[in-house]
Amino acid sequence: MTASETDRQLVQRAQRGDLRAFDLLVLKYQGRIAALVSRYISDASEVEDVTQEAFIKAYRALDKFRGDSAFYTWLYRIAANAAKNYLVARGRRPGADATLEDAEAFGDTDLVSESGSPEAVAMGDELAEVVAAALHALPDELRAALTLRELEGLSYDDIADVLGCPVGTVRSRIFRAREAIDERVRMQISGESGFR
Amino acid sequence: MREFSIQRLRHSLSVLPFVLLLSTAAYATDCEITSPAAEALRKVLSAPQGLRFEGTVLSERAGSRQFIVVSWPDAAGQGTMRRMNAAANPPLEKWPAPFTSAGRICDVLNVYSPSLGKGRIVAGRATQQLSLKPKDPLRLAYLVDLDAQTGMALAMVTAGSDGQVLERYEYADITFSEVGDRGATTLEAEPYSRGRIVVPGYFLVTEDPGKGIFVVSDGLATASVFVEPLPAGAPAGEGAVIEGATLTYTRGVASPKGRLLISVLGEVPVVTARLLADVVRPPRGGE
Amino acid sequence: MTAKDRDSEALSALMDGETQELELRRSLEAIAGDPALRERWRRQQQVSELLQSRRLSCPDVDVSERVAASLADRPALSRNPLWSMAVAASVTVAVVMGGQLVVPSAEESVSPLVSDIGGAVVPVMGAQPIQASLGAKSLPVADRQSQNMPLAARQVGAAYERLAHDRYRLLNAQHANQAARSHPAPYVFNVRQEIVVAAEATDGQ
Repeated sequence: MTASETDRQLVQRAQRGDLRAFDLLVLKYQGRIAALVSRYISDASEVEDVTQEAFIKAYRALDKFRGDSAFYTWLYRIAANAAKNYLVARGRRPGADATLEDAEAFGDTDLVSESGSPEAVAMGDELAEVVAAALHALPDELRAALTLRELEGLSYDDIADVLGCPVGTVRSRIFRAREAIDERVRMQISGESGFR
Repeated sequence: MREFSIQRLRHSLSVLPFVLLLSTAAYATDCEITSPAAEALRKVLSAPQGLRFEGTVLSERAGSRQFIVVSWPDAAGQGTMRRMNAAANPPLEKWPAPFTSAGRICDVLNVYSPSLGKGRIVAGRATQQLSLKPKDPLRLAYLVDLDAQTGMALAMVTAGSDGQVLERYEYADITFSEVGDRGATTLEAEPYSRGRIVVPGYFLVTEDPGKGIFVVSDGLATASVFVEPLPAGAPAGEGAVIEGATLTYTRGVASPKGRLLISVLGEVPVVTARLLADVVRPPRGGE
Repeated sequence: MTAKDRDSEALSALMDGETQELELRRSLEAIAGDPALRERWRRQQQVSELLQSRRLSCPDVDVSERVAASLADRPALSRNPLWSMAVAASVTVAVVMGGQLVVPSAEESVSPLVSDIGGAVVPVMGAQPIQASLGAKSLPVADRQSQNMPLAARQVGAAYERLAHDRYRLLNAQHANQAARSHPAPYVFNVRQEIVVAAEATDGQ
């Protein structure tokens, strides 16, 4: 899967001490990790604290990551332990457990639950509508390239085969599709507070 | 040339195979335990085998204090403990059985001079005071209050050569099951491993040149040495910090034969850490 | 195509794992210099999640700055790696360090040692003071001789001290496992380590 290739490249650079690479991984997974942590902890500021701690622990343990599992699975494990330890340290019992099998079964997508405040959930819903509308409004060739990539998980080479065009064209179309969607998302966000 | 990054250095550990430049000196491996002080030392080193107990210990190091509820042994032959200041409802943790071996006391007597003094009351029990003075500047000093009945160390101070207290612990209360309950003595302890002498009084406990690590001990104190490549561009240098009785010493070596980063962790003085770093050489043929 | 567009396109390819090492490096450099590009990465990750799952996990959570700040908590070191001091310090270090030191003496300039403990001798209650009972000679411990040591050498020493601190954090657990078995009270070594939930430990015996 090509999304794992992204993680592999970034993890390798992070293992060599490149904090910028690790920053991109944090930006990519912080929402999903926070969602996991919020299955154990209800207080929003505590969720952020433990999410932060999970990433710090992950960075410090990066040497031990050998790539036997997906990076996200490994990170998920660390975050789950961090949340459990946090509860134990405060005399609380970890409740129902999000299992590792859940993380692995869903691969790069998380077991997305109704986590977060009502406002955050509403933000997410509104943004989902904007993205869906933007996707629908794309020219056919851009929409085709992006959906083959995002929804089918095909590599650029495979998409090029399917669409009968050069890889460079695939890359360009996907970029332009994302540009168009990003334009609408930015407009949506600029009016929202608390959602950067 | 790979770019040098302090971040990589600080948060990651690579390994470098090494060879050790060792002397051929050897110590006597048998000794006579005739004095009361040597006998007291033997009891301290033998504990807690043959005993069964529960108690509360106050541990002090590096400006922090921790009450620990301790018991020995569990069914698996390990000790259990809870750190009472570390968390609410602290989890159960394990601690390992100490090495036991008839030879260990001889190693300790080779490098420490024991003497007995008048004891005090500790945890409501009479004790004898055993002081272990190092025979050379290569190790720390210890003052032990051992239980008059069982010989177990109920309190212990680790001190530097200038007398400065580095860390200590003391039992606040302790309950022994019937001494002579021999059910505890059948537990298997890990055998005491004693290799070649590395620096005076310290012998190899484990050595894994392929992983860039070796461990030495004098029978009481232990030091672990880790060897890594020194990144290109980093200058030679050394530095150290002490936490409690544990010294961490790092040295960057840059020579035509190779570039090494040597880290020594141990309950040892800095001079010993330096000697341990001295014996490390790059593998033949360079890095 | 503008440079900005090229950076944005490279970012898009990075999302899909379709970049080579060189382009990856350039992307990371571009992001470091352009907060808007970093935000774009964050947004596009969220859009990707929405496209795939139609839900967004905790969109209001952003701990990235805090994580970055924690990991770079010694910015002076990370931005001034040891090698940048090497050029200025190399000659001085060679003179000061003089190869491998065995026993420091007052005549030799040695890197400063830091003791966290400080303080005077505290006599054990009810017993004789340690100094009197042990009567040991002082070990030659190097004091910080900052007024005599060149600045560059002090900087190198300070950097190695910080490295020692980090090595303690990285390696202490491994050392403690070994050291505990030779100590009359092995449990005091656990005190030095972070408390963890021991999966195998059970309450009651």
